[in-house]
Amino acid sequence: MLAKSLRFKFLHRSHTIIGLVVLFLFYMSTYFGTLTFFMPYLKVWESPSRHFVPLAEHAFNIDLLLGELLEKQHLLSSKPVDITLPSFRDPLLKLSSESQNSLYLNPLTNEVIKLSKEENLISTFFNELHTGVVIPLIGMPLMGIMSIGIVFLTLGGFGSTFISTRRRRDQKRAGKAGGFRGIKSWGLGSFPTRLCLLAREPFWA
Amino acid sequence: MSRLSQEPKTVIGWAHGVLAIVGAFGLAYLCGTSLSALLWGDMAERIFPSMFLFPLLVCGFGFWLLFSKNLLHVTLKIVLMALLNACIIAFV
Repeated sequence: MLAKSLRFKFLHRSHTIIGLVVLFLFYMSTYFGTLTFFMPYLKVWESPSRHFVPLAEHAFNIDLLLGELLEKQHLLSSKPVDITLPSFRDPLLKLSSESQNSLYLNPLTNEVIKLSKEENLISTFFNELHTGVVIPLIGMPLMGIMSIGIVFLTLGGFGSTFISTRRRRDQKRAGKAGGFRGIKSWGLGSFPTRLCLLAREPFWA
Repeated sequence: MSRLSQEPKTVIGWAHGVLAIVGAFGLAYLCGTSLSALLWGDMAERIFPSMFLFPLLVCGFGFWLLFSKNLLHVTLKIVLMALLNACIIAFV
């Protein structure tokens, strides 16, 4: 086993190098990940068929038209039909069935909308940047490896903090060190965790 | 830090680091395979524990290989652990 004095050095150096490599890709993923928060709104913005003001009080008159539509679109079979009601993700009403093309309706007018020429290019591009698909072949496995790197960095960071604090404590007992350094290092070590907990606090209520 | 800087320079380098990383992934894969071989049940029951343990195994093996004195120790650890796992996979 390695000498105790060298463990901190090995941990520190590996932490620095792996941290630099991992954070390069994680920065990209996190940056574009924040944009995926707005994915539903981007998708709606990109599709002209969804550019209408939804009613505050939805009273769907789909029941009147449903039988006729199902018969017309050959959806009347033993397979179940999914009806997805309008939401902020997609203001259109969607009828889908297994091995059939989905049918989109404008909930205000019950008009069947053709979406063949609409593609979500921008939102898909941001999502691909977020998941690393833009890097050919190795993109997604690389992101997986980077996640393992983050686990390594977390454990290594706690390990090196523990070692340095213990070392400082020993030095303090021997009368070779000042008072507050150990506390300071623990404070810095726990800062990201405290920040995360603070950010999550509104969601606990 | 002043005390740390007075210590002898470590020999950890690119070869040590790369060997530790590659070895950690290889050994974690082998360990997961041997764990699946030891478990019983259907495919999902056998694969799931290895799947969830894989990142932790990689980190564990990474630290274990990292804290080696020199390249020979790293290689020795990889070879011995690979042999152990090969025996488990072959004879279970």
